[in-house]
Amino acid sequence: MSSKYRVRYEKAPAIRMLAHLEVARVLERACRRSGLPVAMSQGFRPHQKITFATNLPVGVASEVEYADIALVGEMSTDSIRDRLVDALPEGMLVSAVAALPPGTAALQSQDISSTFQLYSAPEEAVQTLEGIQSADVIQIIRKKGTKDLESPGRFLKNIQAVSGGNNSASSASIQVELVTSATGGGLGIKDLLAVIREMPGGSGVWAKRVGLSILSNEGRKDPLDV
Amino acid sequence: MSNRDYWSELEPLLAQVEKPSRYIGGEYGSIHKDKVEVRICLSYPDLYELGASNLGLAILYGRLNELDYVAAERVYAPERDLEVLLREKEIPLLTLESRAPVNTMDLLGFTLQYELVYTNVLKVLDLSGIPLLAADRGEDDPIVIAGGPSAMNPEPVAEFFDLVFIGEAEDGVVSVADLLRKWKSDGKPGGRAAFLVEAAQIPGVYVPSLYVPKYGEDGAYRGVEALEGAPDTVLRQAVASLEGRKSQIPWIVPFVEAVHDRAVVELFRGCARGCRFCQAGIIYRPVRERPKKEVLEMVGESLAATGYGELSLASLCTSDYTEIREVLEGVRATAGNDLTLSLPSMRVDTFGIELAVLASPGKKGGLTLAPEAGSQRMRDIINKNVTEEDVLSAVQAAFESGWDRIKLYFMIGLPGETEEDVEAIVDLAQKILAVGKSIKGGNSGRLKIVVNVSTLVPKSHTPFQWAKQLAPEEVLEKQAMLKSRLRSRQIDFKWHEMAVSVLEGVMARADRRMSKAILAAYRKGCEFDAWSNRLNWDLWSESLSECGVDIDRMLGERDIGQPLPWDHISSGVTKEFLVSEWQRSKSGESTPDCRFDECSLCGVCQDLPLETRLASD
Ligand code: SF4
Ligand code: SF4
Repeated sequence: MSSKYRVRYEKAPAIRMLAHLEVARVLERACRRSGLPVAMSQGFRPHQKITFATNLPVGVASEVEYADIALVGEMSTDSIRDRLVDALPEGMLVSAVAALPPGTAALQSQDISSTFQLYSAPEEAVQTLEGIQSADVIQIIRKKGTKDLESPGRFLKNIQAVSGGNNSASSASIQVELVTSATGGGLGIKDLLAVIREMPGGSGVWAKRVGLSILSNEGRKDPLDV
Repeated sequence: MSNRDYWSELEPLLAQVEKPSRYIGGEYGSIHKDKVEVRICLSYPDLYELGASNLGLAILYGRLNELDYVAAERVYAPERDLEVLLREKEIPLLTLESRAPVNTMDLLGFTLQYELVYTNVLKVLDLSGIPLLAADRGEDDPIVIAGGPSAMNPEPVAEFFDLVFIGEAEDGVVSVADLLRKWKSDGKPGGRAAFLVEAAQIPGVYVPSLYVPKYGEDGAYRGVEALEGAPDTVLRQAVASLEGRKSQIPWIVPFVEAVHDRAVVELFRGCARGCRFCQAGIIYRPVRERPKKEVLEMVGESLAATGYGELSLASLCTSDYTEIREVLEGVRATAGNDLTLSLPSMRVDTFGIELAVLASPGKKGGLTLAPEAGSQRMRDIINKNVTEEDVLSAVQAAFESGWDRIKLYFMIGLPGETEEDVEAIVDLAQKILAVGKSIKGGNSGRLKIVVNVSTLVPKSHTPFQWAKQLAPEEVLEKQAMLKSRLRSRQIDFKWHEMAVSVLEGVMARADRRMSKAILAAYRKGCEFDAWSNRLNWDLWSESLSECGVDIDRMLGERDIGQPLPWDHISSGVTKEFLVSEWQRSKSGESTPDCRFDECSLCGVCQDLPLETRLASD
């Protein structure tokens, strides 16, 4: 009766200041405006069955965010995409939709690799990030206090300076790969940005997720390749 | 003008502030225009999440943007964290749409929904780099205009505004925009001063600088003198009918969670119940109901356009809409049961409860009722035509329908109030609890009665405009008495902070000399005064006393013969009617609701081109 679809959407730089909950609300409302027959949960306060598979902090943009939407009945992925594109505000373009076969594992239950591009970082940030990568233990500062993270290199993978972009001579674009495990914990993009912001010339650094894949024994897989 | 691209400087900094999406614009439904002749910025001078829910400003935003030569944009008051950054980096406040500095607009309009936003108005002006006093503004500064209910006594803020619009502005703003366009394209002949004189000719436009207040030697206010070119009185404007005006409402869907995150459809304007403390009941007369067909169309359109899962049917007293039952049934028929419906302000009787049941067939959250006073004597004085029997049968019906949490609104400080009248609030709350217990029997444990007590603030243009407001120590005494008597596990007592009501009262009936005190308070750091946790009473009382404001006098009773600072602003309701209502209140005589009963000749339908319009007509 109900069928699930995975939607890939962007969080453009213009709306990077939205919090995750705000992005979620925008998509929920767009679903209602679009007239898509979104399945509703049962219970005291029924809500639309939408699962937000990815989650970004305030200030971080993305080209590759994912949400799983349950519809009553079936629809072509093209018309789902068209309807959402019409209903979403600028900055949240839906670039692709795939039908999920029954039993597809939720994204949150899998190990994920994300590629982030950092903009307006000081040149020296590459070394700083490499330092984090090779450290035995680092301290990360969270709202609730600091905590120690052992072998941060497990989470922080390829670090490379990239050319291009409209950066001035004194700032660089850097790409990093961050791995998050289904069990949570680890290192987030927020932690990296916080470190770079403290560096001289680092206050304007910001990030965009430019790639996301599922890690499994068979290798990397695109979330829409289901 | 500076060539700095302020937005590119500001945007990255937003990551450092709380809820940065308040400041980025670009919401679904916001309107962006490039080349226009007149740029107008509308401001609700409080945080975004409060302002975004304001219907009046949304209507003006839509109305102005319908004009192809106008761009209407928005700005709200920034929170402290952003203010600090703006000052440190010397970035002025920017509009949400074009992200242009607010001081590059042609017109900057503030809505004054309550008196306690006055320091925030100064904050918005200040952060925009616009001189705070109208007299100090230059030819390149925007024309600064105010509107909204508190503008009905514009005097305390008269020195801050170039113009004040009196009444419903959806047509008046178009006249102001037209005039601006013409004046600009003619090369601004005569400069700002000439523009103001021209503007004073538009019905409803008050130009404070064209009125000179007079004071007696004893400091008493003695009225104003209108300068040449200015009308003696400025008459409130109102639309004759809501029919056919539905297309004017745009639907901006905020990113930030707004205080009222829902679609709003206005059922009607005005209320003719005639509660004598109520300013809205006077300044929005007469009752003008929107035709039912248009209400239902707007419900469907607004939900489809916004994607909200919640809808509010707004008006001063929603259950009074003549075809409310049909509307509720119609809403359910189109929107289904998943929609959360909110009906603000329900009347206190069994019919009110019937409607509440219709509105929320499943879920039973809290129910709010406003008997306003505990004793019948007091309810007669304020012309709240509700009996104790009405109240008790309403709560009985509510308990029977499944509610177990009831919130009651009362006021203290009503004219002629005795200790027994205040105690009657306690008695009524206890009777209500007893009704609940008798109905719920063994399940009484979940019953909760919330008693919310505010203090009367006599407002301009009401029959109580002459009344005495409780002095600070009297408020505290009465609150202490209620606190000690309302000690029950099942009765929660909530009260309005004394300082908030006192400050509101000092502002509400002030004359123009108050502008200095507001400015002084702002300079000392007062802001967000409407938030009881942020109102700094010490700084305020310092400012008031430095500026020679005598709080007792401001809160004291006025003489009927004495000139009032808002006498030159007419709501259309005559002073004779207000006097007679003031006198009738003293003898506890009631005055009927003119919708169904006879007209009390308040003046509105006699002096303004208006009449009551009911959906059922
Ligand atoms: S019912 Fe009374 S308090 Fe409510 S809006 Fe009407 S006049 Fe005002
Ligand atoms: S003039 Fe009469 S009908 Fe019109 S608002 Fe006043 S009391 Fe009501």
